[in-house]
Amino acid sequence: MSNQLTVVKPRSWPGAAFWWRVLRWSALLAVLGWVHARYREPIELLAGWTPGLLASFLRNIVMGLVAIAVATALGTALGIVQCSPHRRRATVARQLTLLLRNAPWLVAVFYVMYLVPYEVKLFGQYVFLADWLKAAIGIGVPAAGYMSEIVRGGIRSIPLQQWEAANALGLDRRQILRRVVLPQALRSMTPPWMSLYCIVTLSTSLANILGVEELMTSISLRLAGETRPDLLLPAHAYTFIVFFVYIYPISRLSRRLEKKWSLKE
Amino acid sequence: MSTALLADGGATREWLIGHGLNLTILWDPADGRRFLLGLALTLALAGLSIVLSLAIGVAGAALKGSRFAAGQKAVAAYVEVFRNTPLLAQMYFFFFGVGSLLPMVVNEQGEQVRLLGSFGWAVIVLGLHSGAFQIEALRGSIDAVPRSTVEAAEALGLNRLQIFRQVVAPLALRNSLPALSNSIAQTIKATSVAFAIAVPELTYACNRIWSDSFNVPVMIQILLATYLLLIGGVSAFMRSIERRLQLPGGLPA
Repeated sequence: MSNQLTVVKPRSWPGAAFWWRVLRWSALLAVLGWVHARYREPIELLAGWTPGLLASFLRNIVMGLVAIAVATALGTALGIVQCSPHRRRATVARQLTLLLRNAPWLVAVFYVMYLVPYEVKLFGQYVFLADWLKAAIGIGVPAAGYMSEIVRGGIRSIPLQQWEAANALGLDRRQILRRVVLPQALRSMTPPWMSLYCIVTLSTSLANILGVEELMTSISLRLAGETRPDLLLPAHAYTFIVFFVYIYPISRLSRRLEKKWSLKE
Repeated sequence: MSTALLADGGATREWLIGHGLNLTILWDPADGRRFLLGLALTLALAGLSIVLSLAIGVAGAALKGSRFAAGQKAVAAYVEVFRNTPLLAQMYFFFFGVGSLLPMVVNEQGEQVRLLGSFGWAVIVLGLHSGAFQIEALRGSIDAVPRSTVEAAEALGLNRLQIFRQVVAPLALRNSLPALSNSIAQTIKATSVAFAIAVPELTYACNRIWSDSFNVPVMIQILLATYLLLIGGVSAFMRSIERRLQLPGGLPA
């Protein structure tokens, strides 16, 4: 290999691939230019609304974080119990996971919104539960079913010998899980956990149906104030784009990590 | 059911109501009809959109596996867009946005309506949404057929079409069953989002019932239980198909 001749090509005019790229980019620019010319006024209006709309999108992000926290806490507990050697407990956790996974998220949001009071007594004090918080919990609870499966898959991916070796070192079950198995399973659990975060954040838009002030509600309210049917298409395209711009990089990173880490194993 | 409840002069009904179980869908014919219509619409929505998503999935998986680069890119873009945006935003975008561009037509009652109503849009959006997931699942199950099996078929002198029809497709179909079962369950769950564009499906029907009859806690349990039964039933049915088609000692399921 080392004495192979490498022929250095002199710099020449760009080839066909380059011209294709130029053609593609100019086509894209032409389309964007057409869209801008066609919807110039709505686009400017939406651009003016952007600060307010992004502020309400922040609500979606916070709801997504609350929901993934609920799902992670509840789901990890369920997933660990699913792998318990105690048969009955494992079966109960398994059935509960199935129930959470099969519940439609919108129904779960209705469930929490209507059946959880707006005030709960916590440590002798009344705590007010905002409706966005309740909606976020309503999304997090069914998502816990998915988290439970992620954790179960992660624990199962660790070879049994690891358990035996840790056992031989005198660690009990809890210590083995906390110090040996879960840290190693973290790697295989991270990409699906990130995908779950994406799904959960996308689902926070469901709160719009229950009147929680978030991005889509905020757009609908502004649209109602305008009564302009020509604004409908660009405005709903706008929500599409905002969610896509936030979610796509995360979901792409998740897939890249998955590919990278599955090759090593 | 309602006759049985009336046979004792409504005593059972009173007892149930007294215990907080105001099951109006059992004794109020209007509520009962709404509930059944909702159930039927949910089933119809799920069935039609699954058929649409399978058609999209097969076409998309075929394009993705072809040597047609522009087709591959278009499929990839479609999958990314539909997987990374909220289903609700897709519903609104198509129903309110694209739907507002459609021409008006006159229906049987002589009213001016859009060419495609909310049910039609719900089927299209749900089909497009789960189609994006279907493409990945089908592609994955085709790729999971071992290369050596295809090579063995080539060695036997089969041509490309024969290999696909007689070797790859039967194996890929079996591979894809768990994913298919999962996507059917997902689609049934997703039909509840059609609530947002006022398709009177199960969630919408129950919402109307509990708003009119003030029996939120009971109706919400029934709503959840109905979905769980539906999805549980479909999953059990799909598992039985999987078992029936399982190859003896063949590919691990």
